[in-house]
Amino acid sequence: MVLGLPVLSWVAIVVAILFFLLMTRTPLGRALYAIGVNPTASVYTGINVGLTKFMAFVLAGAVSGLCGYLWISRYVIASVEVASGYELTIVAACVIGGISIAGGIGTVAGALLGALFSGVINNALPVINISPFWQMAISGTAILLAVILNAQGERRKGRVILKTAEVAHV
Amino acid sequence: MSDVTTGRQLPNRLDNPLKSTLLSWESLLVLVALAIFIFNSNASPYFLNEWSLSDLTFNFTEKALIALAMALLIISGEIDLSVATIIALASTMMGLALQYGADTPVLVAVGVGMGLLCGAFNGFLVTGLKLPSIVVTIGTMSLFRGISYIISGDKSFGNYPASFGWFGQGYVWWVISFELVLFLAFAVIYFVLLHRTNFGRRVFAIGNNDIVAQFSGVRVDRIKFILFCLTGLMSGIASVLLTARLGSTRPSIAEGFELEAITMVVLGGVSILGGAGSIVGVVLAALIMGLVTFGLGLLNVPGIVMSIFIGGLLITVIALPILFRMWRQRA
Repeated sequence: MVLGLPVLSWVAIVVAILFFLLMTRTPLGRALYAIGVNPTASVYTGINVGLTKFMAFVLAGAVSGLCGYLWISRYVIASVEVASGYELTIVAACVIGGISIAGGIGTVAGALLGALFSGVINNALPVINISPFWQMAISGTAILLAVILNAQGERRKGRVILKTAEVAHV
Repeated sequence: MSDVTTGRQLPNRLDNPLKSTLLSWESLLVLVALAIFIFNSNASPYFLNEWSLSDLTFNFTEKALIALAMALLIISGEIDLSVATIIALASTMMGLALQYGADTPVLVAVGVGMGLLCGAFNGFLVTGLKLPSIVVTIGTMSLFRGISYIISGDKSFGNYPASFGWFGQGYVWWVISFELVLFLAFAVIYFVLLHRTNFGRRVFAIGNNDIVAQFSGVRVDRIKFILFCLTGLMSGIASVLLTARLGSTRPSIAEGFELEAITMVVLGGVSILGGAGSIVGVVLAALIMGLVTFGLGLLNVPGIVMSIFIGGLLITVIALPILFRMWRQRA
């Protein structure tokens, strides 16, 4: 415990801040957004697409390694079954946080909120006396609702851009 | 799933000498299958026996049934990750129907119908609401299994009638199981559907370029919807077979089946970006998966090591042709 928060949370906060700085304040973050929006244009603007994607995978692996260490330090047990099925939970958290599966859209804060949301669902339901057997169905519904709402938002944004472009043209 | 929107490397695989490349791919799979077969017969004295070989087919038929429909779905550029949980939900529904005293025909109808319904739900979300299939099916994956957990909780359903058990355990003739006959029949049906009908042609067209397909008068959304329904239907049928074979239902049934079905499809030479592939390849890949897991099982290899083999096989099979092409371009 440091300043009333467990060390685990401090690690999460530090990593989140580092990733926020990476995505908003560094060339690598810009390059990642650019590649997500349009890989062809990124190549022509001089971004090394292969290297950037490579870095993204390396970062994902590095953070997974850190999480493995934190898991061991918290539960003091290592087995092959540790965190099985997490890959889909994490993709779901990103989607709930408003990150587009098609690429190019999303923020670190969104991913963080998405992860917090699934954490709250998993931990708060037993507290308010909802059977834990409902958890999975509720998080599934949440994912679907998030995708539907996000898709609607992105589509509307697209239309607005088109309208202003037409006005500007006239 | 395709690169159409980016304008980079517009896939036009239909122009390739399709027949020759597919032939070589399938003959490679036949060679791999033969090699594993010979290796297995030498490695274990229990392998080359008609009842062992019959047991082997139970290893892959349920997943292979799903892989047949999944192949069409992936060729059209979509994917369904929820197939394993459709099995769980359909199985739970059959267990529930059994509680209310349903008979074998009703049980089968409930299982297959539930699969179809789940597939239609996926199809509606993807084609009706225009959502990306990978996220939708991650969501429904959680939802379907979640509903199974709500219905059955920590209990399991059992005591299925003997006539129902025949679907998973029965033999049609000698060592030929009902599961195998059903799989072969569906393999022929899917081969005809994909390679000999307009429908199959349109599936390839959508996978190569869905915008062009749309402008050429192909009802893209309707075909994709049908493909999702077919995948759900096959999952429902697989659920009937699996439930009948195990004789009980738990919400955690068929965990990890979706990845094995997708592995079969990709190993069978179907392009994960859509637009290319064949049913013969998928059937051969299913056979290879069955041979590998059964052979390793006979050698007392634990399941976790088996997954290393499957993963290694998959990566090798995907990477080898790419490396070969790079090497040839450099030479």
